[in-house]
Amino acid sequence: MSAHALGQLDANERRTLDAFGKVGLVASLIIGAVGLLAALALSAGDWTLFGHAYLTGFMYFLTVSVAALFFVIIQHLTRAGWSSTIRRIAELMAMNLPILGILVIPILVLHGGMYEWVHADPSDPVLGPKLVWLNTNFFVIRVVIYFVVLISLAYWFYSHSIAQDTDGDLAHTMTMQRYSGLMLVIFAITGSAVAFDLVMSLNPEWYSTMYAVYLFAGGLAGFFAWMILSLRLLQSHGIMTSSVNQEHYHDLGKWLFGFVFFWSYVAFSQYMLQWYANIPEETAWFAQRGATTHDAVSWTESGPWPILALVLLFGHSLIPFPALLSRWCKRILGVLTFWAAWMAVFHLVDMIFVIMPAMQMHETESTFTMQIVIAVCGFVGIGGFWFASLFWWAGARSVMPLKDPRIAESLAHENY
Amino acid sequence: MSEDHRAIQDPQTHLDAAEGATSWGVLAEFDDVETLLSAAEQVRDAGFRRWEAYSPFPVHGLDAAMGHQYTKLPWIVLACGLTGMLSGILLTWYTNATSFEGIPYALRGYLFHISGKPFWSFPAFIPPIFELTILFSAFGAFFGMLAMNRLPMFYHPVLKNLRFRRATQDKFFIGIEAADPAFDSSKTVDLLRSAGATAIEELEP
Repeated sequence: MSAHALGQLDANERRTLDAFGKVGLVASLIIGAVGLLAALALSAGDWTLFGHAYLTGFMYFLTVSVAALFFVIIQHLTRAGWSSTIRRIAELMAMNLPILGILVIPILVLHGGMYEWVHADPSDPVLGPKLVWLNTNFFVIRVVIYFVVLISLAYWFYSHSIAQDTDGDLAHTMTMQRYSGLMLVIFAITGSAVAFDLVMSLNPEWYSTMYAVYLFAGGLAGFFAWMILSLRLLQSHGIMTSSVNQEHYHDLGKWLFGFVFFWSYVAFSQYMLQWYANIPEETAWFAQRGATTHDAVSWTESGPWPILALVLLFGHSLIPFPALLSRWCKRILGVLTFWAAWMAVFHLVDMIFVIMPAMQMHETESTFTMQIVIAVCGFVGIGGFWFASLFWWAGARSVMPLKDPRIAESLAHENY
Repeated sequence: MSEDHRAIQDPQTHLDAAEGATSWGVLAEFDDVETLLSAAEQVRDAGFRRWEAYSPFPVHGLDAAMGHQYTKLPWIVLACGLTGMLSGILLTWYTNATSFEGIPYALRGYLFHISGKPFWSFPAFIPPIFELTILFSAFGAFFGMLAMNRLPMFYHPVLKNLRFRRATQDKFFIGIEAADPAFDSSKTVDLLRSAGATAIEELEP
């Protein structure tokens, strides 16, 4: 136990980023620019390929930011005390939605070469009726609405939390709690629609009602991974060293474990039903990704995609599940950090698995390896801007909601 | 405070009176959490094993103050879960993917083509395997917890004590069993008194 009393803020603790934030902002911008330029250069004028790689990186960080917003809402809905010291990090991650709202513009520009429904024949018996929803004008309008709604939600929680830092008014907490249920409903509808429109419509003949839940579960696993990594990074720079301790990491580890398993559950549920029914327009999506038990399809026709499907099965589910099962794995920070980094990587594998195989529907010169490399460049590019935005929002502000009424509860938090 | 209470509050008098009778152990009452925690540490350091602390609400740090080892229950749950998983695999395999000659027909596995899938069709078997894993884990957790806490217990000596009723109100207690190898009637009472007990009573079996 440190020198300060239980449940009281350590007066000597640093809670602003200062110089580290400025260096981080510049470094992230450089990394982001390099990543996107590398993706541009490597795709060599293949805008469809660049679009898919860009969308991979974009969806990675969009799901993480949306998950961060969900986390903030859930903390207020459940009136959680344990998370008060770490909630600001999630609020900041949710405030990356504005930069993602700007970064979505290239997808709107390039969408003609990416989404099959743009060129669909209205008399097509499968796609024709769907064109009422899937058409360029309505698509652009919807994407704008989604971002306006999501950014408004994120900003509403963020501005209340920031205002409380100065005035310490309990009314902010009460207001956020009162409306958190309504916010969650708005969030669920908007978040699901984003998943259906931006990613599922890459394969417009295919549909899965579990798809939004699938992306949401993966996004939350990615979010908790980045939450743990961010806190470790901040603490290694001497920030929030006594306010965030093993107990908070343990709880974040539980969330991470929970969503590793929830993702597996949803991914399997989505797969099993369509595998069992064995209807061509449903199984085509899995066959395209090599996720099939049909030997002839999996090992000869789909190229290397079946290997990626297996890597995802083991890396996103079967290996981290037993690894995070034990209480001690979540309480030993080195071990937890390793698995957080692991899940941060496998959220990218998940996004590649979901998005990149759609390239098979387009004419392209690129090889499988090249597609993966460019997708990783897209991830680095978007990630750089995402982190730059994170450092910008943190700025000179406290990375902890100092006057939150439950801060004492969070500081004294203990797991049994 | 009534006359009656004061008599009980002097532990020595009370214990002397009960001398000769078989005693289950002693119960010490504390007024606040801090005293309870420091008393628990002293009882722990004195080498007692068969004792328990009681409080109206969960007390942070009491486990450590009592020297509790972390529970072994997770290992029981893991073993049960793995057993359930194995049972699920065997069940689905035997009933759907085998049909051994020589076994009575009613007990034999039944090879049945479903939806053109192979007999041994793993994705279809995962739900029952998963459910059996969960079921066995839940049994392990529930019955393992009961067994390790020696529950259900229909009677405990502290429940006969009138003072102990405030364990669910505003008082904190430590009960030490006479069966503990480190137990010595007068020394144990002295230890509890010096640890800040406001009252010490003997417990009848």
